[in-house]
Amino acid sequence: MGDERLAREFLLGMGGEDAEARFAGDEEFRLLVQAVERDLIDEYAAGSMEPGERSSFAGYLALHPRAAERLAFARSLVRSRTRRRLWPWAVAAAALLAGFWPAESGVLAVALTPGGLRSGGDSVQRVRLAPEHRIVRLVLATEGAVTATLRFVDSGANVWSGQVTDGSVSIPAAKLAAGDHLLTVRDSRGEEIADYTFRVEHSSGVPNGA
Amino acid sequence: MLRALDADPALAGERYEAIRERLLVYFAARRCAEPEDLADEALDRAARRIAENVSIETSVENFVLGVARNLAKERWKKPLALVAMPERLPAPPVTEPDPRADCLDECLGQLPSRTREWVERFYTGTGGAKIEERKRLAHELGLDVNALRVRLFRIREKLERCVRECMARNENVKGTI
Repeated sequence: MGDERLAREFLLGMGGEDAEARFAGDEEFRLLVQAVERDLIDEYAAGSMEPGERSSFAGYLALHPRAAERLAFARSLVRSRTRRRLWPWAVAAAALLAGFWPAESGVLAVALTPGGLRSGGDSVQRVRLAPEHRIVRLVLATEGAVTATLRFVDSGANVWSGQVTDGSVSIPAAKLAAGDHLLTVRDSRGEEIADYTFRVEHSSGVPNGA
Repeated sequence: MLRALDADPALAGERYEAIRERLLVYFAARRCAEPEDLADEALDRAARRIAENVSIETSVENFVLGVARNLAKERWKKPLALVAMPERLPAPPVTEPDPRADCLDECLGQLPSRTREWVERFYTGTGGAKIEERKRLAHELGLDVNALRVRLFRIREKLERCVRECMARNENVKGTI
Protein backbone atom coordinates (compact mmCIF):
# COMPACT_ATOMS: atom_id res chain seq x y z
CA MET A 1 0.00 0.00 0.00
CA GLY A 2 1.28 3.49 -0.86
CA ASP A 3 2.18 5.87 1.93
CA GLU A 4 -0.52 8.34 0.91
CA ARG A 5 -3.17 5.62 1.10
CA LEU A 6 -1.83 4.52 4.49
CA ALA A 7 -1.93 8.10 5.78
CA ARG A 8 -5.46 8.54 4.48
CA GLU A 9 -6.70 5.36 6.15
CA PHE A 10 -4.98 6.36 9.40
CA LEU A 11 -6.90 9.65 9.45
CA LEU A 12 -10.16 7.98 8.47
CA GLY A 13 -9.86 5.78 11.54
CA MET A 14 -9.11 2.68 9.47
CA GLY A 15 -5.36 2.53 10.10
CA GLY A 16 -3.94 -0.58 11.66
CA GLU A 17 -0.84 -1.21 13.77
CA ASP A 18 1.37 -0.58 10.77
CA ALA A 19 0.12 2.98 10.30
CA GLU A 20 0.34 3.69 14.03
CA ALA A 21 3.88 2.41 14.24
CA ARG A 22 4.88 4.49 11.22
CA PHE A 23 3.33 7.59 12.75
CA ALA A 24 5.10 7.01 16.05
CA GLY A 25 8.51 6.38 14.56
CA ASP A 26 8.82 7.95 11.12
CA GLU A 27 9.11 11.75 10.80
CA GLU A 28 8.52 11.70 7.03
CA PHE A 29 5.31 9.73 7.48
CA ARG A 30 4.12 12.14 10.18
CA LEU A 31 4.59 15.06 7.80
CA LEU A 32 2.74 13.20 5.06
CA VAL A 33 -0.15 12.48 7.45
CA GLN A 34 -0.41 16.18 8.27
CA ALA A 35 -0.35 17.08 4.56
CA VAL A 36 -3.00 14.47 3.76
CA GLU A 37 -5.09 15.79 6.66
CA ARG A 38 -5.32 19.16 4.83
CA ASP A 39 -6.33 17.37 1.61
CA LEU A 40 -9.09 15.54 3.45
CA ILE A 41 -10.26 18.78 5.04
CA ASP A 42 -10.43 20.36 1.56
CA GLU A 43 -12.45 17.41 0.25
CA TYR A 44 -14.75 17.56 3.26
CA ALA A 45 -15.26 21.30 2.87
CA ALA A 46 -15.97 20.91 -0.87
CA GLY A 47 -18.47 18.11 -0.20
CA SER A 48 -16.57 15.88 -2.62
CA MET A 49 -15.93 12.93 -0.27
CA GLU A 50 -17.70 9.61 -0.61
CA PRO A 51 -20.44 9.37 2.06
CA GLY A 52 -18.64 6.58 3.98
CA GLU A 53 -15.35 8.48 4.11
CA ARG A 54 -17.18 11.69 4.96
CA SER A 55 -18.82 10.04 7.94
CA SER A 56 -15.48 8.54 9.10
CA PHE A 57 -13.63 11.83 8.74
CA ALA A 58 -16.37 13.68 10.61
CA GLY A 59 -15.30 11.59 13.61
CA TYR A 60 -11.76 12.94 13.29
CA LEU A 61 -12.93 16.53 12.82
CA ALA A 62 -15.18 16.32 15.85
CA LEU A 63 -12.17 15.43 17.99
CA HIS A 64 -9.42 17.69 16.68
CA PRO A 65 -9.60 21.07 18.44
CA ARG A 66 -8.45 23.05 15.38
CA ALA A 67 -10.74 21.33 12.88
CA ALA A 68 -13.27 24.15 12.64
CA GLU A 69 -10.54 26.71 11.98
CA ARG A 70 -8.98 24.48 9.29
CA LEU A 71 -12.33 23.90 7.60
CA ALA A 72 -12.92 27.63 7.51
CA PHE A 73 -9.44 28.11 6.01
CA ALA A 74 -10.19 25.51 3.33
CA ARG A 75 -13.37 27.34 2.36
CA SER A 76 -11.56 30.66 2.26
CA LEU A 77 -8.86 29.17 0.04
CA VAL A 78 -11.46 28.20 -2.53
CA ARG A 79 -13.15 31.62 -2.32
CA SER A 80 -9.88 33.50 -2.60
CA ARG A 81 -8.81 31.45 -5.63
CA THR A 82 -12.17 32.01 -7.25
CA ARG A 83 -11.86 35.76 -6.79
CA ARG A 84 -8.33 35.84 -8.17
CA ARG A 85 -8.84 33.59 -11.16
CA LEU A 86 -12.33 34.29 -12.27
CA TRP A 87 -12.72 38.01 -11.90
CA PRO A 88 -12.86 38.67 -15.68
CA TRP A 89 -15.43 35.94 -16.05
CA ALA A 90 -17.43 37.33 -13.12
CA VAL A 91 -17.74 40.64 -14.95
CA ALA A 92 -19.11 38.84 -17.98
CA ALA A 93 -21.49 36.87 -15.78
CA ALA A 94 -22.71 40.06 -14.14
CA ALA A 95 -23.42 41.53 -17.57
CA LEU A 96 -25.30 38.39 -18.48
CA LEU A 97 -27.37 38.58 -15.33
CA ALA A 98 -27.99 42.26 -15.92
CA GLY A 99 -30.14 41.42 -18.89
CA PHE A 100 -28.16 40.04 -21.80
CA TRP A 101 -29.51 36.58 -21.21
CA PRO A 102 -32.63 36.06 -23.30
CA ALA A 103 -35.67 35.95 -21.05
CA GLU A 104 -37.71 32.78 -21.26
CA SER A 105 -40.95 32.20 -19.48
CA GLY A 106 -40.51 30.13 -16.31
CA VAL A 107 -36.72 29.90 -16.72
CA LEU A 108 -34.35 31.31 -14.11
CA ALA A 109 -30.80 31.78 -15.46
CA VAL A 110 -27.96 32.02 -12.95
CA ALA A 111 -24.25 32.33 -13.69
CA LEU A 112 -22.07 30.40 -11.24
CA THR A 113 -18.39 30.61 -10.34
CA PRO A 114 -16.65 27.32 -9.64
CA GLY A 115 -15.64 26.05 -6.28
CA GLY A 116 -16.65 28.67 -3.81
CA LEU A 117 -19.68 30.10 -2.21
CA ARG A 118 -18.95 33.63 -3.31
CA SER A 119 -19.52 35.15 -6.66
CA GLY A 120 -17.06 37.99 -7.16
CA GLY A 121 -18.44 40.17 -4.40
CA ASP A 122 -19.24 39.43 -0.82
CA SER A 123 -22.38 37.39 -1.09
CA VAL A 124 -22.99 33.67 -1.11
CA GLN A 125 -23.90 32.32 -4.53
CA ARG A 126 -27.65 32.04 -4.37
CA VAL A 127 -30.36 30.66 -6.59
CA ARG A 128 -33.57 32.38 -5.56
CA LEU A 129 -36.56 30.42 -6.76
CA ALA A 130 -40.01 31.89 -7.15
CA PRO A 131 -43.15 29.80 -7.68
CA GLU A 132 -43.27 30.71 -11.39
CA HIS A 133 -39.85 29.18 -12.09
CA ARG A 134 -40.05 25.77 -13.72
CA ILE A 135 -36.48 25.45 -14.94
CA VAL A 136 -33.21 26.70 -13.50
CA ARG A 137 -30.46 27.22 -16.04
CA LEU A 138 -27.04 27.26 -14.39
CA VAL A 139 -24.45 28.94 -16.60
CA LEU A 140 -21.04 27.41 -15.93
CA ALA A 141 -17.56 28.89 -16.26
CA THR A 142 -15.83 25.62 -17.14
CA GLU A 143 -14.68 24.72 -20.63
CA GLY A 144 -14.95 21.13 -21.76
CA ALA A 145 -17.74 20.14 -19.35
CA VAL A 146 -19.90 17.39 -20.80
CA THR A 147 -21.93 15.97 -17.93
CA ALA A 148 -22.93 17.18 -14.48
CA THR A 149 -24.34 15.77 -11.25
CA LEU A 150 -26.01 17.74 -8.50
CA ARG A 151 -26.01 16.76 -4.83
CA PHE A 152 -27.80 18.19 -1.82
CA VAL A 153 -24.93 18.93 0.59
CA ASP A 154 -26.68 18.20 3.89
CA SER A 155 -27.89 14.72 2.98
CA GLY A 156 -25.35 13.90 0.25
CA ALA A 157 -28.31 12.75 -1.89
CA ASN A 158 -28.06 12.92 -5.67
CA VAL A 159 -30.63 15.41 -6.86
CA TRP A 160 -30.06 15.46 -10.60
CA SER A 161 -27.64 14.40 -13.31
CA GLY A 162 -27.53 15.26 -17.00
CA GLN A 163 -25.74 16.86 -19.92
CA VAL A 164 -23.97 20.20 -20.11
CA THR A 165 -25.26 22.00 -23.21
CA ASP A 166 -23.63 25.19 -24.50
CA GLY A 167 -21.89 25.67 -21.15
CA SER A 168 -25.02 25.40 -19.04
CA VAL A 169 -27.27 22.86 -17.37
CA SER A 170 -31.05 23.04 -17.10
CA ILE A 171 -32.57 21.57 -13.97
CA PRO A 172 -36.27 21.26 -13.11
CA ALA A 173 -36.95 23.76 -10.32
CA ALA A 174 -39.03 21.13 -8.50
CA LYS A 175 -35.83 19.16 -7.81
CA LEU A 176 -34.20 22.02 -5.92
CA ALA A 177 -34.93 22.08 -2.20
CA ALA A 178 -33.85 24.99 -0.04
CA GLY A 179 -30.23 24.58 1.10
CA ASP A 180 -26.68 24.15 -0.16
CA HIS A 181 -26.01 22.20 -3.34
CA LEU A 182 -22.86 20.90 -4.99
CA LEU A 183 -22.73 20.62 -8.78
CA THR A 184 -19.86 18.50 -10.10
CA VAL A 185 -19.01 18.66 -13.80
CA ARG A 186 -17.06 16.10 -15.79
CA ASP A 187 -15.29 16.06 -19.13
CA SER A 188 -15.75 13.58 -21.99
CA ARG A 189 -13.60 11.01 -20.18
CA GLY A 190 -15.75 11.20 -17.06
CA GLU A 191 -13.04 13.04 -15.08
CA GLU A 192 -14.21 15.63 -12.57
CA ILE A 193 -13.01 19.02 -13.77
CA ALA A 194 -14.81 21.48 -11.49
CA ASP A 195 -17.42 21.84 -8.84
CA TYR A 196 -19.80 24.64 -7.94
CA THR A 197 -21.43 25.27 -4.60
CA PHE A 198 -24.54 27.38 -4.31
CA ARG A 199 -27.48 27.92 -2.01
CA VAL A 200 -31.07 27.53 -3.12
CA GLU A 201 -33.66 29.79 -1.54
CA HIS A 202 -37.40 29.68 -2.10
CA SER A 203 -39.35 32.90 -2.07
CA SER A 204 -42.54 31.12 -0.90
CA GLY A 205 -44.68 28.04 -1.11
CA VAL A 206 -41.95 25.43 -1.54
CA PRO A 207 -40.99 23.02 1.25
CA ASN A 208 -37.45 22.86 2.67
CA GLY A 209 -35.18 19.82 2.78
CA ALA A 210 -34.26 17.15 0.21
CA MET B 1 11.56 18.62 28.44
CA LEU B 2 12.11 21.92 26.60
CA ARG B 3 15.86 21.68 27.16
CA ALA B 4 15.83 18.22 25.60
CA LEU B 5 14.13 19.64 22.50
CA ASP B 6 16.48 22.54 21.79
CA ALA B 7 19.00 24.72 23.62
CA ASP B 8 17.25 27.81 22.23
CA PRO B 9 14.07 28.34 24.32
CA ALA B 10 12.14 29.87 21.40
CA LEU B 11 12.95 26.95 19.09
CA ALA B 12 12.24 24.49 21.90
CA GLY B 13 8.80 26.09 22.36
CA GLU B 14 8.08 25.71 18.65
CA ARG B 15 9.15 22.06 18.72
CA TYR B 16 6.97 21.46 21.76
CA GLU B 17 3.92 22.90 19.98
CA ALA B 18 4.69 20.85 16.87
CA ILE B 19 4.85 17.65 18.93
CA ARG B 20 1.61 18.55 20.69
CA GLU B 21 -0.09 19.02 17.31
CA ARG B 22 1.10 15.57 16.22
CA LEU B 23 -0.28 14.11 19.44
CA LEU B 24 -3.65 15.70 18.70
CA VAL B 25 -3.57 14.17 15.22
CA TYR B 26 -2.64 10.80 16.69
CA PHE B 27 -5.37 10.71 19.35
CA ALA B 28 -8.03 12.08 16.98
CA ALA B 29 -7.04 9.48 14.35
CA ARG B 30 -7.36 6.79 17.04
CA ARG B 31 -10.81 8.28 17.83
CA CYS B 32 -9.82 8.76 21.47
CA ALA B 33 -12.08 11.13 23.41
CA GLU B 34 -10.45 14.28 24.86
CA PRO B 35 -7.33 14.40 22.65
CA GLU B 36 -6.08 17.59 24.29
CA ASP B 37 -6.09 16.05 27.77
CA LEU B 38 -4.37 12.95 26.44
CA ALA B 39 -1.76 14.99 24.59
CA ASP B 40 -0.94 16.92 27.75
CA GLU B 41 -0.74 13.72 29.77
CA ALA B 42 1.58 12.09 27.21
CA LEU B 43 3.83 15.16 27.32
CA ASP B 44 3.83 15.16 31.14
CA ARG B 45 4.69 11.48 31.34
CA ALA B 46 7.47 11.85 28.77
CA ALA B 47 8.83 14.92 30.59
CA ARG B 48 8.94 12.97 33.87
CA ARG B 49 10.85 10.11 32.24
CA ILE B 50 13.30 12.55 30.67
CA ALA B 51 13.77 14.28 34.05
CA GLU B 52 14.62 10.88 35.54
CA ASN B 53 17.49 10.67 33.03
CA VAL B 54 16.02 7.62 31.33
CA SER B 55 18.13 6.71 28.34
CA ILE B 56 16.30 7.63 25.12
CA GLU B 57 17.61 5.84 22.05
CA THR B 58 15.46 7.70 19.59
CA SER B 59 14.36 11.29 18.97
CA VAL B 60 12.41 13.05 21.74
CA GLU B 61 9.38 13.20 19.42
CA ASN B 62 9.46 9.47 18.69
CA PHE B 63 9.78 8.87 22.43
CA VAL B 64 6.74 11.06 23.22
CA LEU B 65 4.69 9.34 20.55
CA GLY B 66 5.71 5.96 21.97
CA VAL B 67 4.37 7.15 25.33
CA ALA B 68 1.18 8.26 23.56
CA ARG B 69 0.71 4.81 22.01
CA ASN B 70 0.98 3.20 25.43
CA LEU B 71 -1.43 5.71 26.87
CA ALA B 72 -3.98 5.02 24.10
CA LYS B 73 -3.69 1.27 24.66
CA GLU B 74 -4.07 1.73 28.39
CA ARG B 75 -7.18 3.89 28.10
CA TRP B 76 -8.90 2.35 25.11
CA LYS B 77 -8.87 -1.41 25.24
CA LYS B 78 -12.30 -1.77 23.68
CA PRO B 79 -12.77 -1.73 19.89
CA LEU B 80 -12.61 1.75 18.45
CA ALA B 81 -15.93 1.24 16.70
CA LEU B 82 -17.58 1.50 20.11
CA VAL B 83 -16.38 5.05 20.60
CA ALA B 84 -19.31 7.32 19.83
CA MET B 85 -18.72 9.79 17.06
CA PRO B 86 -21.02 12.30 15.47
CA GLU B 87 -22.23 11.75 11.94
CA ARG B 88 -20.91 15.16 10.98
CA LEU B 89 -20.03 18.52 12.37
CA PRO B 90 -22.65 21.19 12.18
CA ALA B 91 -22.00 23.33 9.12
CA PRO B 92 -20.02 26.41 10.14
CA PRO B 93 -21.95 29.59 9.58
CA VAL B 94 -21.20 31.37 6.31
CA THR B 95 -20.06 34.87 7.22
CA GLU B 96 -20.76 37.75 4.90
CA PRO B 97 -18.40 39.43 4.32
CA ASP B 98 -15.74 36.83 5.05
CA PRO B 99 -12.85 38.41 7.02
CA ARG B 100 -10.90 35.17 6.80
CA ALA B 101 -10.93 35.25 2.99
CA ASP B 102 -9.79 38.89 3.08
CA CYS B 103 -6.93 37.95 5.43
CA LEU B 104 -6.04 35.02 3.21
CA ASP B 105 -5.83 37.31 0.19
CA GLU B 106 -3.51 39.56 2.18
CA CYS B 107 -1.34 36.60 3.25
CA LEU B 108 -1.23 35.14 -0.26
CA GLY B 109 -0.14 38.55 -1.46
CA GLN B 110 2.88 38.38 0.84
CA LEU B 111 4.13 35.16 -0.79
CA PRO B 112 6.63 35.28 -3.65
CA SER B 113 4.64 35.06 -6.90
CA ARG B 114 6.11 31.65 -7.74
CA THR B 115 5.10 30.19 -4.38
CA ARG B 116 1.62 31.68 -4.73
CA GLU B 117 1.31 30.03 -8.13
CA TRP B 118 2.24 26.65 -6.58
CA VAL B 119 -0.43 27.10 -3.91
CA GLU B 120 -3.07 27.98 -6.49
CA ARG B 121 -2.16 25.08 -8.76
CA PHE B 122 -1.79 22.52 -6.00
CA TYR B 123 -5.11 23.31 -4.37
CA THR B 124 -7.07 23.74 -7.63
CA GLY B 125 -9.89 21.53 -8.85
CA THR B 126 -11.24 18.22 -7.71
CA GLY B 127 -10.93 14.55 -8.60
CA GLY B 128 -8.86 13.50 -11.59
CA ALA B 129 -8.13 17.03 -12.77
CA LYS B 130 -6.60 17.90 -9.40
CA ILE B 131 -4.45 14.74 -9.40
CA GLU B 132 -3.20 15.48 -12.93
CA GLU B 133 -2.35 19.11 -12.06
CA ARG B 134 -0.38 17.96 -9.03
CA LYS B 135 1.53 15.45 -11.13
CA ARG B 136 2.38 18.16 -13.67
CA LEU B 137 3.56 20.53 -10.95
CA ALA B 138 5.62 17.81 -9.25
CA HIS B 139 7.24 16.97 -12.59
CA GLU B 140 8.08 20.63 -13.24
CA LEU B 141 9.71 20.94 -9.82
CA GLY B 142 11.52 17.60 -10.05
CA LEU B 143 9.74 16.17 -7.02
CA ASP B 144 7.54 13.16 -6.41
CA VAL B 145 3.93 13.98 -5.55
CA ASN B 146 4.26 13.19 -1.85
CA ALA B 147 7.35 15.41 -1.50
CA LEU B 148 5.40 18.18 -3.25
CA ARG B 149 2.44 17.57 -0.92
CA VAL B 150 4.68 18.00 2.12
CA ARG B 151 6.30 21.12 0.68
CA LEU B 152 2.89 22.69 0.04
CA PHE B 153 1.73 21.62 3.49
CA ARG B 154 4.61 23.63 4.99
CA ILE B 155 3.54 26.67 2.99
CA ARG B 156 -0.08 26.15 3.96
CA GLU B 157 0.85 25.95 7.64
CA LYS B 158 2.53 29.35 7.32
CA LEU B 159 -0.53 30.74 5.54
CA GLU B 160 -2.80 29.40 8.27
CA ARG B 161 -0.65 31.08 10.91
CA CYS B 162 -0.58 34.33 8.91
CA VAL B 163 -4.38 34.29 8.59
CA ARG B 164 -4.80 33.57 12.32
CA GLU B 165 -2.54 36.52 13.17
CA CYS B 166 -4.28 38.79 10.65
CA MET B 167 -7.70 37.97 12.09
CA ALA B 168 -6.47 38.55 15.64
CA ARG B 169 -5.03 41.92 14.58
CA ASN B 170 -8.33 42.90 12.95
CA GLU B 171 -10.24 41.84 16.06
CA ASN B 172 -7.97 44.02 18.19
CA VAL B 173 -8.47 46.99 15.90
CA LYS B 174 -12.24 46.47 16.04
CA GLY B 175 -12.01 46.29 19.83
CA THR B 176 -10.29 49.65 20.05
CA ILE B 177 -12.77 51.48 17.80
